[in-house]
Amino acid sequence: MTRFLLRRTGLAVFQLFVIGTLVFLLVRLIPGDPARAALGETADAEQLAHARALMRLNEPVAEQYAGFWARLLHGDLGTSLISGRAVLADLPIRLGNTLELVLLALAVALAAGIPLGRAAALRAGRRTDHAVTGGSILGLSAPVFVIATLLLLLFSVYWPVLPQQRYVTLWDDPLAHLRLLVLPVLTLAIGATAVITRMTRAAMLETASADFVRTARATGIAERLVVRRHILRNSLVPVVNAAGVELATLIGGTVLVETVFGWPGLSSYLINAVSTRDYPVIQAVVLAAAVLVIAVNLAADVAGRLIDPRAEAV
Amino acid sequence: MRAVLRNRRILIAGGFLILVVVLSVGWRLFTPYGYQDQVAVPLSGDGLLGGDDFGRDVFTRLLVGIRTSLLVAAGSVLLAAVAGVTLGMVAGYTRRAATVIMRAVDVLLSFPAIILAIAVVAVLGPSVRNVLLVIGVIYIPRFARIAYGQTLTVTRSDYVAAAQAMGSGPVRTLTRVVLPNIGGPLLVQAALSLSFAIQTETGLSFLGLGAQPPLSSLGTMVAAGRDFLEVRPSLLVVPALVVVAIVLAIHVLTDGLRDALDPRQGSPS
Repeated sequence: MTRFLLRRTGLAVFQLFVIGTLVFLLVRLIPGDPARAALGETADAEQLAHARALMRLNEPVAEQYAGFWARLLHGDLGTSLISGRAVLADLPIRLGNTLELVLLALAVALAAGIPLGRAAALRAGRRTDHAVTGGSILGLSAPVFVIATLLLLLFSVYWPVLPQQRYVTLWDDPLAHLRLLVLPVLTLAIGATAVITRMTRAAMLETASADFVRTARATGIAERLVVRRHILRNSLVPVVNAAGVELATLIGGTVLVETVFGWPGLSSYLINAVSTRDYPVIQAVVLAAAVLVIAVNLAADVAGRLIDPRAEAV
Repeated sequence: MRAVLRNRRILIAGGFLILVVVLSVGWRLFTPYGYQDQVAVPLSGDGLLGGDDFGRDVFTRLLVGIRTSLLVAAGSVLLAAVAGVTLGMVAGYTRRAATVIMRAVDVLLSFPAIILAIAVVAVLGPSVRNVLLVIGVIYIPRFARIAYGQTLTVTRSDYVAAAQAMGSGPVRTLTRVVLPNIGGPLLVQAALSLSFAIQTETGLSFLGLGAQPPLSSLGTMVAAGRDFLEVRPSLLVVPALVVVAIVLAIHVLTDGLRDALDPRQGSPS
């Protein structure tokens, strides 16, 4: 286990290094002068010099690259070109808001997807199975922004039980905050539920034909227990892995959900930064998302290993 | 009976996709207007699907929008497949530096494509061409990984050894012997990637980072429709449902393709 943890952590560090390098190179991809690109034609020489200094464009590239990592390791994520605020002052709150959406959506997806997949697997080939499989393929096929806008249409025009309102924090007005959460979480959960359902169904069908399940039945224990103890539990590893991958998809989905529902998370921070060409913020958000995704994958692999120690090594 | 049913599903999905491709690629044959022509009373019901807020024919813009989204998706998948399969096969055949390349590739594989795409498009500027390139590059790892794994397996087989013994060089072995034997999984991946690419392209266009006005994409049409939810919901609903229908049809075809290529993994009857 120690060896596995060491190797798996080493891999995560390597992945972080690759993404970090890409993020560093991103700003160097800008055709022409990045400071000019960020501030536009109207900027005067002084403003340009200031922006260049903030983005450290005056140093040689090798030094820029070394400094990029040195500052990151010291927790310095740079300074917004637009607001002049340290990115670290805004990022954690945004990250928290996004995690709130993503984790709730995943919880809903697991709570709905595992029972649905189980029901479909136990009635494979019958009507329940067809309904669940058909529903999940439809859920997979609807892009996030389509679900978001259709829900918005449904709940703001045809059935206005969830009127659009300004964002409030959980601490200021808990009830209003929860109402705000309903549509974004529902939007994200639909696709994720479809994935978890399909994964659970496929994994349970595969486990159900294993020899140890036949043996368990032969011992004469109740079918209910065979399903729960032997089939479902042994099907959870692929489901946990799928949940890990799905978290990354959900984080990608927040880009559209936060835009449609005006949720002040990491992704709307990114979109704002893109429209104002605030490169340090763009870099910081991509890095934050990368750390999140890499950490989630690491956690999912370790969890899979804990559930089933035989799971393949890295 | 089930086989017939499944075939019917595949037939419907395939027929629908062919119809959509013909309608959108040959859009000039099916509408008298250009996609920029202001021919209707704004937001009216003139024509098949009415006019948009500029009085442009929605049906025409829908066809052009489908065309944009399909071309970008198909172009990026083609780019990703050619580059990814080449990389993966070479890595799998020569096994030199393969582990390092594949580990680096894994990071990109798990990273949400849309966030990387947004970052890169933000730098390069929003345009259809840039979106195509970005999605294409981001999807390279998907193909590289499968091609790599499959090539590793196939090169161990006797028929590859036989071909090599007959004097077949690396290039000939890879293109004539290995590629035909790893084509199935790659085809499934291509179909799957196509559906993801459509979702990513429409998503980026929805955010205003893809097709720029006056060109339409299914994503920009949904985004524009949001402003007229109460007056003309069809401006939003129609392009939204078209996206779902296209992606759904591709998924149904992919599932059928997978079942056909690997009978063991099919749903039980």
